[in-house]
Parts: sequence; structure tokens; C-alpha cells
Amino acid sequence: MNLIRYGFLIALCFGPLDPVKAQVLPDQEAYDAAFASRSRQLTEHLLEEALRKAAVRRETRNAGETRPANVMSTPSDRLDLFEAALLIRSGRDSEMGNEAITEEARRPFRGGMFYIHDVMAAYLHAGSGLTSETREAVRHSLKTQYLYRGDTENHWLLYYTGLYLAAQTWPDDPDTTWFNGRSSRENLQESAEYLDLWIRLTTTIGQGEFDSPTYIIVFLSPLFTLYDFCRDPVLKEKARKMLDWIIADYAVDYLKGLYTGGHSRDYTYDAAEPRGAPAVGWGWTLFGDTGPVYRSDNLLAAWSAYRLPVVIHNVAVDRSTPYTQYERKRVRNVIRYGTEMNPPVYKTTHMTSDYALGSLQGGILQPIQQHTWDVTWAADTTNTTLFTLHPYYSGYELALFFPEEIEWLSDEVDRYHKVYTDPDKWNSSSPYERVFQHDNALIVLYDVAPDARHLHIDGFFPKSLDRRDVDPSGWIFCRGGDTYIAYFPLKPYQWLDAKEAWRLRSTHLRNGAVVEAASASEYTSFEAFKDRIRSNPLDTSRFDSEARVAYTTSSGRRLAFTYPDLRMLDGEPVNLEVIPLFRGLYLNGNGRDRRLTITYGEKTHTIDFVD
Amino acid sequence: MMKPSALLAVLLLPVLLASCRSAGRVKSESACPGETFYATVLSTRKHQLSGSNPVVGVFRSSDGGATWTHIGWEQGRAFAAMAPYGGCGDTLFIASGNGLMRTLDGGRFVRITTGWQITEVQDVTINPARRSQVFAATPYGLFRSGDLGESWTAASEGLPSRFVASVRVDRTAPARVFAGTEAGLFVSDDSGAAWEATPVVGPVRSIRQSPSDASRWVVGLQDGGVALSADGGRIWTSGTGAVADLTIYEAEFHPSDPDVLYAGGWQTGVLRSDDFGRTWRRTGTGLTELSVHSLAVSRARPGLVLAGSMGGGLYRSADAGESWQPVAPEVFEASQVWDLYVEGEQ
Repeated sequence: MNLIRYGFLIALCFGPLDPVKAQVLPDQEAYDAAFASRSRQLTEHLLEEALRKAAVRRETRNAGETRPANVMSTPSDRLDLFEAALLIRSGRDSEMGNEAITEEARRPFRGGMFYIHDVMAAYLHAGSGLTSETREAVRHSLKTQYLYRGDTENHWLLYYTGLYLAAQTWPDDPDTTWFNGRSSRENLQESAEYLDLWIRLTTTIGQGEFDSPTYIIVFLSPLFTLYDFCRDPVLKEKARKMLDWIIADYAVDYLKGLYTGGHSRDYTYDAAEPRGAPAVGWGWTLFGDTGPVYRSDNLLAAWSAYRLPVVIHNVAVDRSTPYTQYERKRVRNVIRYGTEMNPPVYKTTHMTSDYALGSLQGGILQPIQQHTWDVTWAADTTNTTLFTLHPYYSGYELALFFPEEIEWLSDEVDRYHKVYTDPDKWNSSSPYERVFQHDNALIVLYDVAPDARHLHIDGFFPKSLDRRDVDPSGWIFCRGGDTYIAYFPLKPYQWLDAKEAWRLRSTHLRNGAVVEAASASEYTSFEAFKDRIRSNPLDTSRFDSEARVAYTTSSGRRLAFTYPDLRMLDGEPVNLEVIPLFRGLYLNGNGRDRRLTITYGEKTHTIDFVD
Repeated sequence: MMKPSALLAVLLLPVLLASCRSAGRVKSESACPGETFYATVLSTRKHQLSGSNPVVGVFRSSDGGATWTHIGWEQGRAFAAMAPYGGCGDTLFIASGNGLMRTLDGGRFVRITTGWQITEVQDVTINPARRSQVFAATPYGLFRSGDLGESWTAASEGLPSRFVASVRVDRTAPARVFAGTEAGLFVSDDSGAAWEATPVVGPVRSIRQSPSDASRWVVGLQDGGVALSADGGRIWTSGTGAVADLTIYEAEFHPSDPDVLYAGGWQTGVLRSDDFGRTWRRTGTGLTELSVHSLAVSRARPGLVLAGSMGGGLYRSADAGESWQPVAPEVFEASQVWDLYVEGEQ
């Protein structure tokens, strides 16, 4: 079991979600004090855990273990590099901390970009507690082991952050002493150039691996490390601003521990159980409105000199006013079958105190792990999310983004990600899926090609729902916590038992659903919600012939959607292209001026990247 | 220790002096003793996201492909390799995920010559007439170096497709470069400053020039078989014959008979043509993995052919493809042998 899953179990063991009872929000001083308290709690808990692992290690010495101990994949019974640094910093078991880092540095095939970031973070945080043997082992590993740069956005951020800090730590070393045959000066310069490029891209056209409950950890971790140890004041300041930026981006989609809405990448089990996602741990550490989740990578925040502006915290936890947030992101680098390198992604999230309904516009925006839409609600149960997808896979999708041969790629990815070709997977992009969302309602349409590998769509209806009523009107009415959900399937379907959920499966190629969500407090009863939805005009008469569906929401907004991309609201066409990087109640920024304004009440925090 | 830049000049001397080829025809024997083959392994069917993965990267053989030695980094995902003619195995360029790597001492010291801008390098070629000029084909365009990789500039202006899978220089015309893109084959007569489309359209996977007749070229195409030219790349025929709809990853010429071609592709096995691509037949038994991504034909040993498969390792034939035997399965088990290169080949 890896660290990611382990974090979820800890969450269940140590405390359920604890919704904010009242919107009494702290000032900066109070937030800082609360953050310091959580940091102590995290450190003390993880120290006990690390001491336990150290005792086991002392007995077994983990002989023969070949898996690397990095943030994404450390087995739960092994010390990872951050825990090793903790043992050293605390002075409680410096011997085992040093031994664990040394062993990791001497382990062959250690995972490239993950290793170079994690080992430099551990090295710098352990500081004077490192033995000369450990220092030499780490330095030697950066000469003798080939460190793969990877092929994703997070890979490169990890790699270049680690390489930058390594080159800064040993600034005068010649090319013969580095794994890549480049001198410290060259490595420092190359790393700084790439980090600056990544920051520029993210603050102008958006992140590529955006809003990921699974992968946010590998953006926050290197940014914390860069901020704390970068000696160049300019780059250090940029790292601080990027922490503000990424955390604010998380905060606006955050609901009581859950990263809601559309995601670029999400593990299939994180899509089905949002509270198992790694982001949940960071949510507790940074925002503190849930029960504790102890992740060792969060030590980087606990140890950091970075302080989150309280405005961002308050954006994350104040759900007293519903809002709809619009965002623009970018598609991962398209290297084939298209002329535009990074087409835009348009994201909509409607947030309330009880639920969030969020979506991307659909189509292939990220390979393999896309999560296009969901309604996610706050409740002390499991699997508090509902969504649909078309389980698509193809060499074409992968060849858009990866350089290997199209005929080979599906098998290759399936070997790494296990579920890519699985007809039952819970994450997928699809070229045959499109979404039109306005506030608390959306229409999702599919027009699956007959030659697609899987000829069905699936809906995830968790068994934890309090109600799942199939109405004679055709609507399926659900209640989860204090959230009501109305789901109108456009084609016949069957229910399949899928362990944690009821799987709504429909094999019609032209397909889709109309969805509307509401807080229970908006209605006198669940029955009243049903009555209202039943009375809302819904026109599916042109769906078979024109792939058009029209629906008038409970608030009277008229949505008409013709697959693939004709969206009409109250009779007017909707132009997604006008959506800026951020637009909403709290976060606003157009990307042109590289400025993100965060407003909460009368307070404003501006992240300004203007050169 | 001597700096690599200083070593460069010393090591390049024999390369630059190695003018042992006449225009249009490569000498049949190498300037170095023996004949050196290189195999580049990108990955294997055993690879996992984390954990102890099999050794990949570049392997070298000096005994006709019977035994192999790994050089360079053990996890250096490699797409292709090329050495300057006459380098005797000390100088080698390696197209890799991390960029274009170069060794000047047979793999003991390896330097990534490129920065963050150049990644996932698909192919590399060295200008036979301008030995310090190197081209790197990448998913982000074509790049050119005039100083053996010390510095790089983009050479894609005018190419309609970012993705360049293959690049070769005409050894009879040092400024004439062919670039194989996803949109088709393009040619430049000024070392990549400007490009013109050829009639060859569709994704190009490989480009090769005949070692015995420089006017003959063969191009491997995705879903399009091969494209052939017998006039130096001015007139092309493609989409014909039994291979017309196949994906051909690589086609190679016989070293001395320009009519004889070998080709390998997706689920094709190794194909052979004895009439310059007019007819093809599948070669003999022993290939258990039919997807063949790379080929190398010996110049020193008549009939010796190597075939690199997509996930099934490396195969060797000593009888011009009539029969095949797996090579060094302890090294190449389940490997994707992306490229095979025999020193002196272009």
C-alpha cells in the first residue's frame, strides 16, 4: 500500500470530516497560530510513526528492498526521505535517519525526478544533523545515477527544483561530477530557466496538470522546498507567489476537505473516493477544517517559513455564499495531430456550503486520468461524489501527448497505470464527451463512435447515497448528506453492482444526462425538490436527430446544448473563449497581466508576476 | 583530468581525418578494427512506474551481434544512437528522453548536450561531410548543432509539423537534409534553414540512404508502407506493393546491392525485397515477436542482419533473413529495441 492510500486510512482512523460550524474566520495572527499548532500535531504524530519504523528498521535493516522511497510510492512500513529528515531534525534518532537517507542514495534505479527533489529536500531540511557519510552518499548519487527528467509537468518541476537546489548546494563542481555531464553552473542556469518558464506558462495560460487531487502534492512539495532553500531572492519570491497561486486555485474548489469538480488527472480510486486523495492531507494542514490527515510530505509545509495569506484560507473555508467560479487552464503539450500546443481548458465550479457541481468542457484535455465533471457533497460518509464518463482509450489519445509509437502506447500505459484499457475504470477523457454547465445544473452529452473500444457510458452513484429513487418521470433523485441531486438519463440504462457504487451503464452511443443539484435547505423536503424538478421544462425531442437537449433549471435559466459545442443560455450562445484564468467571487485574473487578485470581504491579496 | 571540451579537439582529430569514403559510396570496411553495432533500448515489457527495472539504454556489440555490453547510463531511455564515421566507438550521440547525450570516451563520461528546450529526442544524425554538424529530431521540432553538440539552434522553420521522427543528411550533398515529420517527408537544401515538401505524405518513421548507391533512398511510413526514390530524393513512389498499408518503422538497404531492402514494422516480421521494393516477402522462421522496430545490416559479414523487436528483444540472422535466432535474451528480454545502428551507417 502506498503512502497515498495510507493517508486515507489514517484519516478514517483519526477523525471524520468536521465541517465548520460557523463562519467565524481568523485574522492572519490567529491563522498563523492555528497553522503552527497543526504543524506541531503533524510533526509529533509523524515522529512517533517514524520512530516506530526506525525500530523495525533497526531490527530488519530492510535488506533487499528495491523500491525507491519517494513521495508517490513509499511502502507504508518504510521510512521515506522526509521521515528520515524528521528523525534527524528532531534529534530523536539521527542514526537511523542518516542511515535511511544513505541507503536511499545508494539504491540503484531510484526514480529520477522524484528522487532528486525528495533527497534534496531531506538533505536541506536535515541540515547540520547529516553525517559526512550521508552527505557524501547523496552527492555521489548525483554523479553516478542517471536521473530521468520524466515526461509530465510535475516531473519537470520536481526534477528542476531538485537539480537547482543541488547545483546551488555544490556550486563550483565541474561537469565530470554530475550525472548529466553538466557543471553546477550549467545545471543552475538550466533549472532556473525552466522554472521561470513554468511559472510564466502557469500565470499566463494556466496549469496543464491543473486541480489534481492526486498530483497537487508534487506541485506543492517542490514549491515549498524551492521557497525555503533558494538563495536567489528573485526566484525565491516567485516560489512564494506560486505557492499562493496554487493554493488559492485549490482553495476556491475546496469543500470541507474535498477537491471538487473537474480535474486534469485523478487516480481512478481517488475519483471514486475523493476523501482518499492526497490533496485531503494538504487541505487539513493548510486549511484545518477537517480531521487530521498525516502525510509526511506535509512536513515540508510544517517546516517552512512560508505563511499562507489568511485571505486564501478564508476563501477555502467560507461557504456561506454560493458562487460560481470560472477558470481557464491548458491542455498538456500536444505534439501530434494538432497545430496548437496547449489548447485551452474551460472549467466551471458552482460551490455551496453543501455541495459543489464542477466540470470541464469535455473532449481530450489530458490523457489517461481526466475527470470531466462531478457533483461532490460534504458528508461524513464515503464516496460522496456522483459523475459519469465514457471509458475511452486509444493509441491516438496517447500519441497526441507521448512520442512512442501509436500502435504500442495503449499496452505501455496499461502496464503502468493498470486500468487504462479497463471498461470499468472511473477516470477517463473521451473525445465523445461534452459538458455545458451553468451554476447548479449541467448537461453532459456523448456521441460515441461505433468503432470506439468501449461502447458504453458509466455513471458513478455511490452506495453511500441516502436515497436513490428512480422516478416514473425518468428522473433519478438522489440525496447525499444535505444535498439533493436530480439526474435525468437520456437513454435506457441498467444498474450494475460496482463495489462502492451502483454503476449506471448505458450502451446507447448517443447518450447523456441532465443534472441539477441543490442544498436541502433550499426546499421544504426531498419531495418538494422532486416536484420542482419534474415541473422544469425538459426537451429531449431533438436529441436523436440533432443531438440537442434543452432544460430550464429551477432558477429559470434555459440551457440548450447541441453536441458537440453549441451551448445556448437563455437563447444566447455561450462563448467559452471569453473565460479568463480566473473569474468569480473570490479569484479573478485574466492572465494577460500575470496578476491574480484574491478578494475576501474587504481584504484583497494580489499575486503579481509583472516583470 | 582533461576537460571534455579539450578532449573534444583531440578525439575529433581522427574523425576529421577519416576521409576514407568516395562521393556516393561508402567503403565497405570500417576505418576501425572490426564492426561495431549499437542497440538502443527504450523500455521493456517488465518496466514498472517504480521499482527495480531492467537495464535499458545503449548496448554495443563488436562480434556481429552475438554478445553485447551496456554503455552509458543504465536507465537512460534511448531512442537512437549514431557515431561519426571513423570514431572507433569512442564518440557516440544518444537520442534520449533527457535530451541528446554525447560521449567521447566510449561511455565512461556522458554529457547531455541539450538543455530543457530539447527533450524526447527521437533521432540523431551526423553530417557525413561536416562532421561537427549534428541534427536532433524531436517531438518539438528539428534542432541543429554546428559544433558537435556544444550549442543548438532550431531548424524547423517552414516545417508544418512539430513532431520530427527521423532526419538524415545526403552524403553527396552536405547541405541537403531530409526530415521525416508527422505530415510527411520534407527536404532542405540549406541545412535546415528552409524546407520544401516532398510528395511523401503521412507520418514518417525512418529515412535511409543506400550505402552502395547514394541516389537511392527509402522511407518507412506509418500505415503507408515505404516510399522509394532512385534519383536522390526528387521523385518518389509510395503506397505501392504488398506493404502499402502497413506501418513500416524502418527499412534498410543491403550494403552492396541497392536492389535489396529489408523492412520491419507493426506486426510485419522482417520483410525483404530483392527488386527495390516492387515485391516483398516475409523472411524466414524464428521471429517470435512480429513487431519489428529496428534493423541493421552488416557491411563486413555478408548475410548478417539484426532485427530489434517491440517488446520481444533482439534477433539475429546469419543467412540474410532466412532464419532468425534470439540474441542475448538475458540482456534483451522483453525489450523495445527502438534502434539498431552499425558504425558507418547513415
